[in-house]
Amino acid sequence: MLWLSLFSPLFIGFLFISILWPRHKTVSPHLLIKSCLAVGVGLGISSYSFFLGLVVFPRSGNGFVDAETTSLLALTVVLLCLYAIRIRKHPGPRSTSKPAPKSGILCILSASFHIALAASLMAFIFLSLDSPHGEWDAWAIWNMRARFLFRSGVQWTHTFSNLVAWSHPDYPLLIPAVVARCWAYIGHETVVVPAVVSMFFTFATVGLLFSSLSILRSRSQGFLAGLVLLGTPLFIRQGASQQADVPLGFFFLATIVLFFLQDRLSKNDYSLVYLAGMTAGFSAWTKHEGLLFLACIMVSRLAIMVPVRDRKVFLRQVFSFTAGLAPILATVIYFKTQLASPNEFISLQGLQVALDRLTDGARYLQVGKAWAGEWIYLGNWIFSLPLLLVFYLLAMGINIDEKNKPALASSLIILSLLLAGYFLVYVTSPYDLRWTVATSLNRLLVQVWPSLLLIFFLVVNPPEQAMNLLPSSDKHSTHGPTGQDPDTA
Amino acid sequence: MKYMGKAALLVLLLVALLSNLRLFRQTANFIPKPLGRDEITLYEKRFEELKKILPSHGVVGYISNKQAEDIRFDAGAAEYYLTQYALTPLVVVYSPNYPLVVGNFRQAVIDPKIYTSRDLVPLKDFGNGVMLFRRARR
Repeated sequence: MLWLSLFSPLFIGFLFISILWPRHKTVSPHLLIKSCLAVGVGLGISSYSFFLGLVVFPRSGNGFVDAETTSLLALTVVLLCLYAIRIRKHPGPRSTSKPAPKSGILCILSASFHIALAASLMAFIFLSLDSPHGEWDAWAIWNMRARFLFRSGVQWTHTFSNLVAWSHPDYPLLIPAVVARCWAYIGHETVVVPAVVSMFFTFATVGLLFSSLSILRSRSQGFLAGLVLLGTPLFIRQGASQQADVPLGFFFLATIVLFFLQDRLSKNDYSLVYLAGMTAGFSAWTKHEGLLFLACIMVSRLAIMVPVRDRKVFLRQVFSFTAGLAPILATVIYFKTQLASPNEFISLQGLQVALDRLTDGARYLQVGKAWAGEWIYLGNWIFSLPLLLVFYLLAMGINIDEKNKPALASSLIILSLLLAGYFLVYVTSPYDLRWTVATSLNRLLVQVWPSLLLIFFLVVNPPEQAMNLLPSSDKHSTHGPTGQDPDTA
Repeated sequence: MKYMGKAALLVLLLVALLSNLRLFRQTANFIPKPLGRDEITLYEKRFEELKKILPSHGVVGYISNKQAEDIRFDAGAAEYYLTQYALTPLVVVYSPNYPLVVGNFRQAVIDPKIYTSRDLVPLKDFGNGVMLFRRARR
């Protein structure tokens, strides 16, 4: 039952994504990227349905499990039928790509990536065994909330009591609801569930970064980016800590990747934008930062799409994005307005106090200094990777694929606005600034680091091209030197 | 440019791999505890008998011999947070002003002043630093 509870959402997520994915003859094209996306979409859907079950049928108890199992089976049949019909109607082109010849560099990168992956998996397991309830915030916020949802029965709204304001009862429920749902399935609590959910999100982020870069650029870039992410000890530690920052980072990355893929794979339908709407919605259902991310998406797509594409395309994209986002955002709004207590950043200070802080130059200086110092060494690398990446960029040069440019500009705006938003939250923080920065800045890095790596490796020249190791025909390939389906790797 | 690129790639590869392997080496030194023998699970076991006689829902108070002016920033308050974690779905409030109050002490002999000064009457001593009180009627 444990594994059924954990893997059934992934299966549903995979079917859901396969139906919306640009048509292909077989399931195998883009298998890896679809599987990685299925982790977030599947767990997001399961969290959403569990929460709705609590709201609509709070007295159902174990009836939820029976109802969900039946619904899942019915949904699986429906999705499989839809998938079969879709393949019959739109067979799509047969994949003609052959595995690219492996260069020496690719072999070295592939071997290094797999060594790092194995070491990270082992490290993750050791860390989880060492702290099976997760780190402080994990048990004091996320896992405790999961316990409230699982143990409370009809009284589940007690978890939002202001009497435990220190546990942030206003935080969204994606992670607690996923964990509580699995416990409801197996009928008891086990620390295995939050640990495995965290593992899913951590390694799905690595897989998504690798597979998306393999499609958008080249496999060597995918391996390198994956290696740099795995070589960020803070990322693995935060993943194993069972906090919500790695899942949030996954949804940020997934949304940005889906916008890139929309431009590259799907010209006439906007199903990938619909999926991007869902993943952006799930980011808001994971942590408050997701709401800021949503606002940044709106602004950036408006700034980029209207001048670059015609208004019709923009409106269609807005419609598809909103269709994916709306049900989840409606749930977030219901949660925030009907259940959650007011956010501490708002309740602890009035508007005037916040405005005073916003106009206090000394606070900007203080936060700026802290950021500059912390970002360079935050990842627990043996040498500052951000500095090294600057050196790498200078050595390799810049090479941006024309097809990626609109999505790249939009992603840069999203991340810049997001970081600017984080910066302003620090400036207006009602808490001691030094304490706030020291205890939270590393988690912000974890949230945006995978997306920053995606952008970096889309901009920097792939190693084969920088070192002139490719035949000239490949140098102008839109997919980069070896850019193709990562599943053939 | 070619050699510069190779050098940059090599350095990036090495730094990423070494950072990764250093984490692996650090964690491999952990002595894995069997499931259920970690600190938090053992701490929670102290409350097992108490949980049997507490109501399944509602709010209970909490006292300890730890001073916590501002529980959010007090590292010693971890014990209070862990008590809430253990007793969920009861809501545990760091205050003696509730009909039922959980006492969480980490010392062999408890000074009765701790609870008499707060108008609390012991209901049961569970013998491991965990006590249950009720509020005295005036």
